[in-house]
Amino acid sequence: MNRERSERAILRVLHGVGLLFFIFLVAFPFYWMLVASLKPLIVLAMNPLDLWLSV
Amino acid sequence: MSNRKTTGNTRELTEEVPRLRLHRFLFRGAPTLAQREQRLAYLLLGPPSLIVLALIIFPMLWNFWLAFHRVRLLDLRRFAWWQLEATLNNFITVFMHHDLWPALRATLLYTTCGTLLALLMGLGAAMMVHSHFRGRGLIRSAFLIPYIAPIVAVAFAWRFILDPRGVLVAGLLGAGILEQPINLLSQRPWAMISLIAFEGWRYFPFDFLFILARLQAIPPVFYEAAAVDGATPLQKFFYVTLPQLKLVLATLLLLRFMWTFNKFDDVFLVTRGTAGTRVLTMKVYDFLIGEFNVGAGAAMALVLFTVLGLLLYVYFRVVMGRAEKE
Repeated sequence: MNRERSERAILRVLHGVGLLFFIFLVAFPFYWMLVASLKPLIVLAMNPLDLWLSV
Repeated sequence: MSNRKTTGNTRELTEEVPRLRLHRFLFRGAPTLAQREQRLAYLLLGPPSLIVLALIIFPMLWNFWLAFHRVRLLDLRRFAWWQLEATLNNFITVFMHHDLWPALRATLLYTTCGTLLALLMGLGAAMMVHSHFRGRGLIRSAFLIPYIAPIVAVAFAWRFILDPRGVLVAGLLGAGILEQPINLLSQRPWAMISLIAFEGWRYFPFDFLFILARLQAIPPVFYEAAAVDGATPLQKFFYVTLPQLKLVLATLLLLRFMWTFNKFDDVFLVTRGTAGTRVLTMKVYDFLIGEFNVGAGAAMALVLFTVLGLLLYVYFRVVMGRAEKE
């Protein structure tokens, strides 16, 4: 019973982490495309970590 | 009302006459039912056979013929096929090419790792969204986006993200994981790793869709029986879920392996075949477009086809044979 409970707890954490990982993995390239489409290339090259949307 | 009935009857009659004519044309001289059915079967098989002949058999035979003749791109317009003598020179060119074996190694590595990664990611994603939670439908739909997005758009986005001045390298430098920038697209072994990662990302939705459909079709009574036997969640996964998924996983492995083995556009767009990522399909392109050597390009395509055929034969004999015995 203890083993089942601990497995359930671990799987719940893994489920949450995995879901966030997959959402990030799928969404990030498209979010980056959106950000890149609204900024000049020079701004992107100067500061690649600035991923905020700004028009 | 009567008018409508008359119109309906007239239409039926006008449709009936050509139908009778066709019937007479088809079955003239075929007195028995078996003969008529046979004639109808041949007639129905005709159009699909012609399509298969034109779209599959003819290009294959054409490629086979080209592989055994010395044909350059310039000769294609004016040559007469009966004037050229058969030769094995194209195969000698292909097999003596210094880049063939590295390309074969790169193809096998890219295909095996890319297929397995996409399959594992598809399985993981399907397991994540199998259970009920809020927003499940939205996430399921979102997971399909990498597969339906245009390849050129996503390949260029990945190129910019993986660039030495891109967001990934900048993030790794900022976090102190890297001391100096690396080129993930033109440096060994990072180029191949990036390509395999792209393959996994781009094609996991296809596997995800099939695995999720199979997961939903597993009868709940199996899990109830496992629960009565005292199975833990992991035991349920290994002894109920995985055996139920075995057939769909084997089919996906086969399909994805074939498709990845023949992939050209992804490799061309992401790494351009640099740093050990020049796969066999790129060699076909090199022979055809780079050297204008149609014969060598066709011979290379034939080699590709033979290698894939051999691998699939082994797969069917070993994996499918074992699955059938079980």
